[in-house]
Amino acid sequence: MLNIKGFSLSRENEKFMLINDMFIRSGMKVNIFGNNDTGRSLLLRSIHGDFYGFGGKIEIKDKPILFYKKKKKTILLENTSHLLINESVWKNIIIPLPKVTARQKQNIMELCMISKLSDKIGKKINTLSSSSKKFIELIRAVIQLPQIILIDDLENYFDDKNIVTALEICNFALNSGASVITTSKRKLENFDVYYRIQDSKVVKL
Amino acid sequence: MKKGIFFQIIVIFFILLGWNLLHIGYDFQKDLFERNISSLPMMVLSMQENTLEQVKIRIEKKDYIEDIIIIQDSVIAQTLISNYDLVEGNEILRSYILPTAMQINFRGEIFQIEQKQELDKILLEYSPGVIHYFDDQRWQIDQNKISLLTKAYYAGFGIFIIFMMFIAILLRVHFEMKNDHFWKIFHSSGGNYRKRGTQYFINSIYICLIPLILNLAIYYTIRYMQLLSVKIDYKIFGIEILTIIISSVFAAITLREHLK
Repeated sequence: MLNIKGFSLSRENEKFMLINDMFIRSGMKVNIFGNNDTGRSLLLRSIHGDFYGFGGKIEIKDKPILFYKKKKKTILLENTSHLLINESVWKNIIIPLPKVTARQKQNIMELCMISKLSDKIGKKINTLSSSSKKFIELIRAVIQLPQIILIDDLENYFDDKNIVTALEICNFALNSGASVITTSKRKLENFDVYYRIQDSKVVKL
Repeated sequence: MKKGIFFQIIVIFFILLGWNLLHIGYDFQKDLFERNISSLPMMVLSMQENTLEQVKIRIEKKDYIEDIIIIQDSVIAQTLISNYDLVEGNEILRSYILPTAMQINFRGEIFQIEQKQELDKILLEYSPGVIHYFDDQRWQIDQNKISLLTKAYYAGFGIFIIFMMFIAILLRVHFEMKNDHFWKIFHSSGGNYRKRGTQYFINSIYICLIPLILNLAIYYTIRYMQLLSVKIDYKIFGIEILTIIISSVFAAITLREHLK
């Protein structure tokens, strides 16, 4: 599904985040880990089509990311939270949905139950913890069944127990053929594929 | 419907209401002055009835002529006798040769400077056999009033266009910018990238049509109930909706980076 070839980022004439060849199939959970300032966030933004200052080629389903400019099939969960703080959990989850079907409603309730948000569904966002807020963003992404869910710095919001919960939520989209790509500072458990960033290169483990 | 859109519809409705009141006020006042002109007849006198008939034939088809009445000399004598109680002087009056009179009534809305000059020119051709009396001073005063009223109306009309555009663009940009945060979250959360543009277009239709339809409904209700004698030209409603549409287009141009 995702095919990256000859990818590189540049900073002051110095290339970093070099990827010779990366192919990620649908339904895969991928963890890319490495230190700070290695270009993890820029890689995710490049795949998402928010950043074009890279070298090489990125294709999703054999089409360049430029093709998806106005009809994005990826959802990026960045470090900063993208929520309406004065609105309820429910409202924040359904923001991008044109219409909430009975099936979607049921799925949302199930996912909220997994993330222990079911009793807070009517509460305003500003009363919730940062991990709960990230769960809301994750449920919102998952429920739309995109081709790829990109999560930057997964460990920033979740402890090990919550990471397991987050992956359980991701399974909903994974079962429908989506892929999940996460970045982190350390290697996380329960992923299908791992890439390590070392010496400015991305290496498959 | 969002509160912001509702608020804009209300504001534009009231501006349109004021604008339509301007048209009604202008038409009403102009109608009053024109009726004053219509009530000013011109009396044309001649000793030869034939000459008056010729004048009548020449001018009766003019669009500014309401009607022409030729009054025979005998009728004039009779009118004078009865009006001034001159029964005793009846015989004396009958011994005089009185002129035949022609009363010309005008259509006030058409009888303006150009038309008056044309009529004066025609009557001049028949002088000195024909003399005419007309209250030029009153006619001129009414013409001046109409001219001033029209100037004031056009100025008001222009001000309303500018005011409408200013308020409509200002409110539109304000409420769109207020929603900018929502749309950023909407897009970043995976929402359809075209949704904002589509929503802007739908809201524009609401903003353009609802206030105008409400104004039209009020206008036709009042007309139906025969509470209003003057008519608003359809073109005026066209100009009004065009102004709101142009405002929406200008607001869209201002917001183009946000609507993408």
